[in-house]
Amino acid sequence: MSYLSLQNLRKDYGGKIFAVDDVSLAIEKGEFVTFLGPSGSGKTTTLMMIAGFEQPTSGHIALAGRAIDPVPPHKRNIGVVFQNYALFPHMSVARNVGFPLRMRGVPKAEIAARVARLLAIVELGAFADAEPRRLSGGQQQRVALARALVFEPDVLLLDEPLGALDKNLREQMQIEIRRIHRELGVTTIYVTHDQTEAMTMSDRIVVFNGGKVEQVDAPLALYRRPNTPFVAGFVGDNNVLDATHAGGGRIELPGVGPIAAALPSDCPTGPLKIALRPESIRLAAGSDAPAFTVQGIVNYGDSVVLVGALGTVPLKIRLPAVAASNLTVGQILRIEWSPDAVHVIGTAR
Amino acid sequence: MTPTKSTPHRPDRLALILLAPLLVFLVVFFLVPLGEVMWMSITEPSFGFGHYGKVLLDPHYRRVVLDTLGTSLMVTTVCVLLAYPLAYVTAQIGGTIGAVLLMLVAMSFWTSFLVRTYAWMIILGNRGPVSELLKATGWDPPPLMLFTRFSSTVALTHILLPIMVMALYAVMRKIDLNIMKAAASLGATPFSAFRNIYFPLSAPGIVSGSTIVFVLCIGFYVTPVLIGSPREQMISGMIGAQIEEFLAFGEASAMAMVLLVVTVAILAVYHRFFGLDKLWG
Repeated sequence: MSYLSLQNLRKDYGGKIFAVDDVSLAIEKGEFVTFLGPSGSGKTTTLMMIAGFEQPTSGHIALAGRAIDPVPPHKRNIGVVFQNYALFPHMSVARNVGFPLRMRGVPKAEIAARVARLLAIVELGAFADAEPRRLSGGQQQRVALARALVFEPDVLLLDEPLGALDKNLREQMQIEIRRIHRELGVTTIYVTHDQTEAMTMSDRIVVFNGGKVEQVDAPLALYRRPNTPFVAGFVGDNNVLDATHAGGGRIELPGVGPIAAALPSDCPTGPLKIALRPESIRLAAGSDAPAFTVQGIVNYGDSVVLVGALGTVPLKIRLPAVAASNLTVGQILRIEWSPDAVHVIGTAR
Repeated sequence: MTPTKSTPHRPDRLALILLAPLLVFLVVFFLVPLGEVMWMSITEPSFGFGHYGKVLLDPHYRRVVLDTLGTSLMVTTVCVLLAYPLAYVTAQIGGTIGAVLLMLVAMSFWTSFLVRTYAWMIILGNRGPVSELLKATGWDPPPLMLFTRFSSTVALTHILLPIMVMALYAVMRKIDLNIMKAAASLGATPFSAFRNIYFPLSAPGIVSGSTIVFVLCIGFYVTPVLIGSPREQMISGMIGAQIEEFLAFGEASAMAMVLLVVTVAILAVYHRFFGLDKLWG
């Protein structure tokens, strides 16, 4: 039995549409799991059901082998960090962090020691007596993190904790949160709609869409072998293309003809959806390679994305900046990719 | 001087022009009469501070001042106790129930307090529903409720309650719901979360609501005069009686000045600690 298990969780708000629709997950002790999905995909609702703020319409949640469905939030021993920090404005930083310990009747001296330790871990020891509102957003979020960790929760839930921070601070905090996770080893569930954040931080990613789980996998596996067109398009940049498998490992794009692809042996014949990463495509030397018409050029500094068409099929290509100098709109390029860059998503309807 | 520094002067002058009618109005209809009252308090009928001595030292007047403060304190306390749960439900639960409650409060607020005072006259009258109910339950003859301190306290509480509700609601609406969720996730029982988080965060509303209600209450005229006890007058009623019945303009003016000083003192203390701009949430 896994440490935290969600069994067939459903949540509806009285309508026909499920905010969370039959979600089952098994999370191991000490894991860092990210719930990734667009807004309204059910990831936050699932998190709030784990925290106990929302009651599932049906289904069960078990923590360490014990059903926690009837347990109220304050008895679950689960730490929660909110996007807007939710610090107590009338308490100092130290009193905020000490709050869960005071609620548990921990002796004063021990509270002081544990608060000092956690503030040291989040590197805010010098701010113990400060009012929360005097701190920057990043510092406030670290206080919230310390407060959610000081009572040694069984699970730490983070609800888009970095959503209110600017980009640089966000990357710094990602590293910080990972470091703290390594140091304390607490089972962590992290909710975000930012796929880069999910890729860089997680042991495993759960992709949510429309209230359902699309795929659960390690970041790289998710990136290389998306199970659904949604995952292929949502995690990283991708070309999701309609193709046909005529049999014998030959795959054809409509209007283009056969393309280089290494298909798995169990690949069904007929219509398919394939994924081809923009960065796996490169410029070809020969003149018999497929022709790509450049329709737009987007410069990212370190790389360049070419938007265009392979025959009639819209396609995106990402090239290193050095390889893409002197390209112009309207130009016809010869392109190639390694056959195993083509990933078969599933049978197209 | 740079242009950016000199430009703000123009809006200042414009603001002054726009404010001018109000300022003229206040000077003519507020400051001048107020100065006249102040002047009368030391010159009517002859120059001297004797009225102030009398108002502050005469046992009868002191009694009126203490009664007024006592009644106002009672009204304020009852208002807090009644308004807090109402504002809490309105601010936290919201939705239809919250909207209906807020509507009821607002309707009561918009009804003339003269009308509401007469309503209490009927309700608490000798043949009113409360008396009949008490009679029916065996309290016969029922206690005299109208024209007592009890009736004026009840009516004043009802009249000033919406103001307390709104002062509390303004503060409570701003309390982040995630803060209460955070408190729960950190191990606080609902009661403990209320005591340690919600109550302290809503306390500014209690202070400002109480200040407004208390200040309005000590100067309230109509209700105490109409249904209060003639023997336990409040300051405003006393001032009115001095002028209408005894033509004692000097004494009445001195009392009015005392009332003004007490009011300003309360607001000054509030301003010292919280800032008057926070009074309305």
